[in-house]
Amino acid sequence: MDLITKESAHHDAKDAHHDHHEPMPFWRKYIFATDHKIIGYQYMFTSFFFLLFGFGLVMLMRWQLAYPGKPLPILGNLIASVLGEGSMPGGVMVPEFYNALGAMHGTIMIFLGIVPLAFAAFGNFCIPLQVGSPDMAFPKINAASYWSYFVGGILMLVSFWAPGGAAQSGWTSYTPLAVIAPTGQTLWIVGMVFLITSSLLGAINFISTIIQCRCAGMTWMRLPYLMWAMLVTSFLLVLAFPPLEAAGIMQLMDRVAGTSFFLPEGLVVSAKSDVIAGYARSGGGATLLWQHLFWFLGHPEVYVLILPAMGIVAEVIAANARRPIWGYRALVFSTLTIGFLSFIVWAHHMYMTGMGQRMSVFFQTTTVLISVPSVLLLTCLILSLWGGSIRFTTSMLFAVGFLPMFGIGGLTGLPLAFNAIDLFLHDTYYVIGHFHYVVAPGTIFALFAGIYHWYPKATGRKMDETLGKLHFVGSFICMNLIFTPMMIQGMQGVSRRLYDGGATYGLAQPTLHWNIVMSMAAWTLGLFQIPFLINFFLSMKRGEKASDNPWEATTLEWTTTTPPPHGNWPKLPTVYRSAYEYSVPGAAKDFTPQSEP
Amino acid sequence: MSDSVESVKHHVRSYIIIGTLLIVLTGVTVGVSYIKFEHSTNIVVALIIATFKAALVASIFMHLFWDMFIKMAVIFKVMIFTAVFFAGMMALTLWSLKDPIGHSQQIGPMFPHQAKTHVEHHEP
Amino acid sequence: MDIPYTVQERPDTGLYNAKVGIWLFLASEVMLFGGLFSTYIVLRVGSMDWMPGRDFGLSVPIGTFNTAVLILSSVTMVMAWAQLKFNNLRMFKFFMGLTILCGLMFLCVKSYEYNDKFHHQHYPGAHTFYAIYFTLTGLHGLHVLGGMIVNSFLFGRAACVSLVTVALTALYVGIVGPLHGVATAEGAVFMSVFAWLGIIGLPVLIVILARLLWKNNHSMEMWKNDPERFTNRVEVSGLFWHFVDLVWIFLFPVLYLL
Repeated sequence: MDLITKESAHHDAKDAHHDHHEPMPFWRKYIFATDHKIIGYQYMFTSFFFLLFGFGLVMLMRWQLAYPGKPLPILGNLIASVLGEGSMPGGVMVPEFYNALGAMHGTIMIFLGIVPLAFAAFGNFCIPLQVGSPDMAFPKINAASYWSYFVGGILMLVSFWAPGGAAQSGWTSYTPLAVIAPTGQTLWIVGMVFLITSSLLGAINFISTIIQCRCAGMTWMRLPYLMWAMLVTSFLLVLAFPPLEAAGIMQLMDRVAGTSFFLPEGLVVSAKSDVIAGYARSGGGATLLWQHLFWFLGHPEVYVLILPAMGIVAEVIAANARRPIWGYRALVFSTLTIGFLSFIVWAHHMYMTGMGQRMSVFFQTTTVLISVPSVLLLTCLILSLWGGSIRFTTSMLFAVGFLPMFGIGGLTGLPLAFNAIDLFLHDTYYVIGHFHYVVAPGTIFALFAGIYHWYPKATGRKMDETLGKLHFVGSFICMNLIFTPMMIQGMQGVSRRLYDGGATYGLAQPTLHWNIVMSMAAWTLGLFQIPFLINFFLSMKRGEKASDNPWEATTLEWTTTTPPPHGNWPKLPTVYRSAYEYSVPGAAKDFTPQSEP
Repeated sequence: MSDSVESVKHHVRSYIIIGTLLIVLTGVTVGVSYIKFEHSTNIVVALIIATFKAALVASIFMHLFWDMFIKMAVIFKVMIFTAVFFAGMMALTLWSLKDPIGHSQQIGPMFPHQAKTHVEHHEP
Repeated sequence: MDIPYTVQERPDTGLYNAKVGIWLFLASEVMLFGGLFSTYIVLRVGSMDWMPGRDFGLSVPIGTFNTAVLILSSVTMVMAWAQLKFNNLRMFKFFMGLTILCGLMFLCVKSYEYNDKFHHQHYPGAHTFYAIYFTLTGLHGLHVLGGMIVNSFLFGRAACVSLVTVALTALYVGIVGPLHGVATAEGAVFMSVFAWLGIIGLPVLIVILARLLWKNNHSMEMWKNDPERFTNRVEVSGLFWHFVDLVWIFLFPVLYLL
């Protein structure tokens, strides 16, 4: 047939000058790598650094919140000498530096930490392996997306040394404050452009791979749920990030070219905002426009943060409960619904901007609606434990721990959907508690689960179980100790982004003591990450050796050798079954790999 | 390959015809803009012509016309989704413009059943 | 290791990989320009003194000419791809060359328009109309430039190196020059960083590019060894180029006429 002869003709033509056996130099194999697994590791290590850095920023903030105005011993003077006296003169944090820490903590954790780890690192490693492809659809673009992320990260780090400090107008960079903020904000915007480019390129790659590079027999409904989660996440990124890029360009124009996209007339704030050429700004801009464009990304962004985590949890639970995921179709259709709905809820972040009835009714309705598929997802995952024979490995502990934590996070979000309740809770610590519950003991736990789960596939050794359990127990307790008091403070009415943690506000006094509890818990949480880091690096050389399929899982990545070679399989697999054939009655073993006829 | 050599030969004619048509339509757009309609009609007319030109570029130059009927291509579905989205975004923006706070009583009730007779407000 | 469906179409989607990729990219570009267009709407509706573009100093004849140039370039672009299907390399180069020249003409006219504006003190900060005009047409112009660079890479190495050199130098000089007068104090810092990056970076980039390309004429080699893959690349580049034309088809009436 035509297809076959063309196929072989191509093969010959390419083989003629495609030497598979020529060894690549180090810089091409590991630095400018195009292999999806290496790029996945690059993303992972870089995001580890940024997660630790971002966490360090908030540990610093927690000193100021627990002991406002007190000098931070040793570390305070160290920071002052590294970043300049403007940050912590005499070891005491100035408000501008506190704001910079807050804004950069948010930006770094989300865009440099979670998204690269959950989406890019796990996506890069798992997608070609789970769909049965030798690599991503566009390997060179894959490399470009990592390096774009890297450049964006460098710019964000460098911004701490900009005159006036790093971005300090919140991770949300609301105008007009952000337009007149110091130079760090410009670096933030340029950094974001690089990060957005990285995410767009990555997302396009992932979608193309999932649509086009599925191996023979891998129909849509045989895909592991993680693949569906990655697919929808990628669509969210492709469609939601560009309006923020447009907004970023406009804010950049306002800052450097004297335009008034977001500046109302007459808002002469300082001489800095006047144009060198000698004329004043025109004004006439729309300040709220920034918020609309920002949150148009901002809301799908939070689903970008949670969906890959859901996918990972599903994989870990199925393998460790030895039963299929409950409600695969429901999971798939809920994820698709969430993807769609996430685009029409954004203004629930803007209830307090003076919006009228039409807007608020519309957004309240859609926001409450989106909770339905979200609860469906959580319910399916919880039901996936029912009747299983559960094996409590460290990865399973984190995956199961994710479930109630995400439950708390999601349920505490529901009151915020209502305009009337948001009147009191907007911009309080309640909101911070809510979203941290979803992302910190939520997504991050899922990511830890994924690391412990796929570590044997990448390295051929298991991570140590004792250190892992220590990591889990310590993290679980500390996370709850940090974020539950935030709910209490928030309901008391304590605002967020107060550099003294509410010390000067009368209404905050009854709940002020929680600040110290939260700070202690945050520093302890930092200590409990040390066993994880030790475990991660030591196990590479000293961990218990693992077979190709140590968890006896069914998905395709476990059918190849460890670590998977370049091209993943010498011959691409064919899929005959769905992804979760565990404990099938009448089967020979308690699991059947997808590629078994 | 997506097309055989023969089909591409046929298409070449349409490229040239559509190209000429697009230039003519550009002229029409400019000409129509000089006619003093009521302000909003000008916008609508210009956008209709622009949309039609864009549809020609997308279907002929970007090949969607033939992809659509022959293969029901994924790109077609993605494009439709994007277009609907974009339209929805614009619609929401415009719809919300007539949403001043505190004046909703003057605009009228949102739903018919809310149209009650005026009730006396009792001061405490 | 062969990634499936790089050239062959996958039977159930009817597409090869790069086509899926480029359409997804175009969807993201629609959202990008959509964000800017919605800004236009918001600024215009909220403005007390908005006028049609021609009253702000935009020249309709020049804009019409530019529109015709881009439409022509779309025709030549698709003809270039068709010539590859007919296995006619000479005519491919003819049409592709024309496409690149049309793009160049478009950018030259745009540059003339921008300088004319600055001459009349119509800077981006002078009115929100100019703000959105310069941002929209500027971003569109960068897309034209990007498309031209890719097209010249597909044309051949000599064209690529010379075009990239000329275009980037001109862009660089063209931006740093006029914008220096309109920058804020913050912008001046930004500009000087940009200036230094260019002075050092541009020669380095050109040397790297020349070295990369002088050893292999990637495009012509691919045409010799894998003509279908090369044709697909031209098709994908064409899709991007048509999109750039499509955006201008909306930009022109919105900014110049309405």
